[in-house]
Amino acid sequence: MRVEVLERILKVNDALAEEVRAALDRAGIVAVNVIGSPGSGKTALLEQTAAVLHPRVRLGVIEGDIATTRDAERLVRCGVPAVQIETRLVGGACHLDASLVRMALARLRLEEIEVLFVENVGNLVCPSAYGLGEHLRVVVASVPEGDDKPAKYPATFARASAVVLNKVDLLPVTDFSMAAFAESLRAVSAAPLFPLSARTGEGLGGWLAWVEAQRADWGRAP
Amino acid sequence: MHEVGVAECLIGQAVAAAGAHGLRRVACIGVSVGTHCGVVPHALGFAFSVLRGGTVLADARLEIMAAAGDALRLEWIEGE
Ligand SMILES: Nc1nc2c(ncn2[C@@H]2O[C@H](COP(=O)(O)OP(=O)(O)OP(=O)(O)O)[C@@H](O)[C@H]2O)c(=O)[nH]1
Ligand SMILES: [Mg+2]
Repeated sequence: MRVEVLERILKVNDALAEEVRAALDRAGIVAVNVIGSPGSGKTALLEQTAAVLHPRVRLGVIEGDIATTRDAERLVRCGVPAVQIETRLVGGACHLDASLVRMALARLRLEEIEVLFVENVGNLVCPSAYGLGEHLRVVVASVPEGDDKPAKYPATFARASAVVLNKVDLLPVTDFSMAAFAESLRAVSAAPLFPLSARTGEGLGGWLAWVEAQRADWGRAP
Repeated sequence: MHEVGVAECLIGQAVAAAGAHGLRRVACIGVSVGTHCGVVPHALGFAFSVLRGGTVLADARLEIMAAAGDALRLEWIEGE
């Protein structure tokens, strides 16, 4: 006998993600799931973003790592409310899931936040399957990783709302081809691409304008 | 590597569906896996084969059907 089931396999996560999303919407917060390889510069990008935008645009950050509270501490030093999820304490997962984000939200004062960045565990594969209740996804790639990443990790890039290409200050010392990167990205995604350097600040303007525009589109009116 | 977590969810759902329909032995389950869902079919199959023991799925075959987009669905179970 064959029985039709027709159920999403991650329906528990999906249901929790919907709860998170509803809580964010009630608070008028736009949430951005930040995905990228270890060391691509996710935290550096958030530090630079905070240095310019915060507190004119009131940011909040949830940091996901397997171990240490270092990244949350870096954001707290920028004056941003930030909490750390250490997945080693809850099974060591290679990605955040909606239940972890829901717990982290309880440690933040939501009424003080307009744009919430959720830095996922450094990983270009696993985070893509787990919705966190976010409004937007940003993939942070970087020059030293090579220009073939969108072609090699299409699932992650295809679902990005925007793509940051960080560490453009290193272009002169690598064989990275901007044209090849842009072409392989276009094959899977129409998302805007922001080449920038979180080290020198070059190219940051386009990214910052995009973040502000998202607040206007999704969040509370400024 | 998160395929283990996905396989755990899948097995839980299939066991529940078997219980709801009075199946005591499941021979096969059908799962659709989207090209952009972030789950590697081979790894899911491996995790499933390791984790299914001790349940009504102990001898069940996993049939993976390629799908578009971010689909990741338990489509059907077959048994008696
Ligand atoms: N040259 C250069 N180095 C950068 C840039 N951005 C970040 N880095 C360096 O890259 C390293 C990793 O940066 P992080 O911001 O910690 O990267 P991450 O993606 O948050 O890393 P995980 O949280 O461990 O996944 C650090 O040594 C940074 O100083 C950049 O634009 N240019
Ligand atoms: Mg980091």
